[in-house]
Amino acid sequence: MRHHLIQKNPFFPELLNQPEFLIVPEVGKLIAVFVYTPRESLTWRTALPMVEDLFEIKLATGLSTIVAALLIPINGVSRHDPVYFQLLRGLFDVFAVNDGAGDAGFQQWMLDEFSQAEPRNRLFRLWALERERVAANSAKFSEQKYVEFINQKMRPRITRAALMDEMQRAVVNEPALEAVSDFPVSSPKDALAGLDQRHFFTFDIGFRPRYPDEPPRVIDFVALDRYGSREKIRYLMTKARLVSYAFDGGELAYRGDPVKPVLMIEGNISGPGHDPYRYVKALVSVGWELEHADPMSLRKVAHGDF
Amino acid sequence: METFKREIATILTQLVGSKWAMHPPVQEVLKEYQHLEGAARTPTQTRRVSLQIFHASRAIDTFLGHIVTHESGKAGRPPRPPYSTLGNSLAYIKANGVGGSRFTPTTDIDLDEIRKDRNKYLHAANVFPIDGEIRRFLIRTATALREAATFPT
Repeated sequence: MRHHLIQKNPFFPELLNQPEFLIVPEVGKLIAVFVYTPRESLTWRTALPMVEDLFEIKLATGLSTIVAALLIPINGVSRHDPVYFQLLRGLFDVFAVNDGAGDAGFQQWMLDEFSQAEPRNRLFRLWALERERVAANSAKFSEQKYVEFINQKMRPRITRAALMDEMQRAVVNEPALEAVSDFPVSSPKDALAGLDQRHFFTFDIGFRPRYPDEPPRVIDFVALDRYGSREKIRYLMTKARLVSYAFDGGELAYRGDPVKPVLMIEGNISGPGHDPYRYVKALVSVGWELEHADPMSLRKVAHGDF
Repeated sequence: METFKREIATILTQLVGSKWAMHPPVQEVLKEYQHLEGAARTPTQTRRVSLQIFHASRAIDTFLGHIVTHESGKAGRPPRPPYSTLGNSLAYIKANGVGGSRFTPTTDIDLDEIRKDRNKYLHAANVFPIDGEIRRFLIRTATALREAATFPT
């Protein structure tokens, strides 16, 4: 494989996680390579942020970009990892696991894979639909509306577990509200990954609609701060993206707003100094409504009073 | 002054890897950004660097002009505007799209801001941008080029 151009540590301002390399093996062909080095077994919460990287780079650079994920588990492959490997293999254009720490045979295999790689045609529709959806959602963003969420002085007061207790107590005795804990919402993640079992996303609380044409309001509670929140945000991004789709007659279809996802935040989601609204813009672009995590806001959301 | 080297190198790599890079007129766009990458390596407070960053953004005019010319050459598409200015190309893309794609509303705004910034700093004597303005300008430029590069050829 003759490399025309390789860039190490590229920088795309809008991505939440940058690829390690961009490779242009020939003019008109772009390969973005993400390298992951998990220390523990994969879970949905660690695998889906990788899927978010795939969404973001496809949307930023185009459907024809070949996106590769190289996974190097620091402590070896665990028993449950293959489920997540199947998900990632079904979505990334190139996916490889190296638990043998960089042997020459593996490197040659990767180079051969890159030289033959093509973007997955069957996912073009997903990227195109998502691009339209993100463009429509992004129009809802304004700095004025979200200024309180980037206030770094608002540090999380309590843990997520304590926050959930507090919030559930706030609505448990509310009349005319039907709250469901761990509200399940289907998504095409299992079908996209070719998994046999159905895997649902669960939201911390869901409120069943009072009118038939209303989508259920589903809520996740998070305690976030300026630092250390990026992986959680990447997970939440993929969650909001995937619940918007379903397979209909074998075809992937956008299904409107099956639920109204609301993220109730304890703390702040300030971005880097030169782009403090980065995380707010990202979350709004995939469909999250943002609210502060306090009992009054929760009642407002529960009653559909956005 | 920051150098913005990574941002500019990423724009260049993405453009070379896009399908548009196979079109001969886009070679001039790539050359312009190679000059800019050279300028961005110079960590200097001089006015030359800021001016060069703004000046090199004319590559957007060339790139969008080429995209519009290519699109208007397809059967049944409206003719291209007489001059390939940034404003004309934007108006064409907004009205007609390129292979069914258009700029997102936020990028439309970014492109308008690029045009305004250029008028401010390239057409007025002794007015120079500060680092924050250059960074915003570069981010807008990168976003616009990236989105244009995703248009179907």
